[in-house]
Amino acid sequence: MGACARIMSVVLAALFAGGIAVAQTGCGTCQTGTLYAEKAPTTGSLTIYVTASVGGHCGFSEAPSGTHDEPNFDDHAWTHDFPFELDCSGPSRVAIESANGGLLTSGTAPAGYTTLAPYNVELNLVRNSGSPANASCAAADLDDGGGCSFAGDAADGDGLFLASGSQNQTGSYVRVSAPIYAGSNILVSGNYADTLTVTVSAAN
Amino acid sequence: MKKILAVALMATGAVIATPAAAQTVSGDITITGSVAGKCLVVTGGTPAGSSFSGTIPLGELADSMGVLRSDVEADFDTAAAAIDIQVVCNTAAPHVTVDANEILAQNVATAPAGYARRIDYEANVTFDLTPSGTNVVTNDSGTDASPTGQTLSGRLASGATNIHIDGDDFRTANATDILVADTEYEGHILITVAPSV
Repeated sequence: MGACARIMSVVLAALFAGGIAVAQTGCGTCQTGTLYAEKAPTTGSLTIYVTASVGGHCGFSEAPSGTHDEPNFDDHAWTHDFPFELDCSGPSRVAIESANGGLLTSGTAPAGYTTLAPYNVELNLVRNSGSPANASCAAADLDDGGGCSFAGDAADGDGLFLASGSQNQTGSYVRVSAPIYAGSNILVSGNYADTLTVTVSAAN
Repeated sequence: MKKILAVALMATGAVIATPAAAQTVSGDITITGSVAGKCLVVTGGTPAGSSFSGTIPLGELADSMGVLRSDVEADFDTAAAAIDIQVVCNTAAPHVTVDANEILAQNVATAPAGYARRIDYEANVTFDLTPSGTNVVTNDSGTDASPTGQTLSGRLASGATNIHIDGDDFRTANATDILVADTEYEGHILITVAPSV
């Protein structure tokens, strides 16, 4: 039984209960407060108000990664770039942490010798507009708690500050380099390695 | 049901939030390299070079009787102690050789019976190790036909002279042999230091 018919039956029941007989009328009285698609008027409109938000985002569209090998690194100057691209809609911070604080080989070194070779790390950040941010540090200052301005984890608020958004801009890089080794301690022979972890986070 | 739902939508605004897509926020860079085994001269030769040298002047070799003087060993050791040789190797056990060559009169080809143009001796080369200790390698010019080779038991000490030379048993074929006259008696001690065998 349709809604209109149900309303009509209730009205008729009430009228008959009161002993008054009423002739059945049409459903034009059924339209108050509701809109029936199957009854005239047949058109109407509903307005749905939608509100939404888009949060700021920040990450790497192309993260720095890869491996660079430098044989006999102690007997010549060397350098290598690891390019990357940011995808940050606003200011950001990029931080770097060195696992070893330099290139490290296994074993222990007696007096006069060393198993840790120094090298330098340069961080360059390019933004959509405006000058880039750039800083350099020794890898020794990039270990956990190191004194470099961009040492640490960006998620903790560490890192080199980039003042505005950078989205898919080329020219950002991590550059590693070293001159001919001239330290007072002798580098022991062997294979050396280090890992740099580069992180990014939106900055206030 | 459909109609009641339509009224509800008119009364309030709908709020839609879309979750942000996950972004890459870290990257790892690895740097590797190598240092080859090598030995370098620090003092006693061209710095960072591959050779060293020194001179032990013994002066007059004969005593008043014309035979080899008995104090030539003392003079040899005194003069040798003044030679400053420091060689560094970056390997844990460098290999060394010592080859003592006789002292010979350079301008006299032969010596008749009762005379001598050749002086033999034993060369002792001491290598200082770190953190302590030494290795001594010996070679005799008269009895050892070939160089004496040895792998050191540790790294060469650094920072100061670490190769020392002294001589023993200076002798002619016969103790009574008269040394032939020559202004040029010359001998050599050849020492090699290599990062490994």
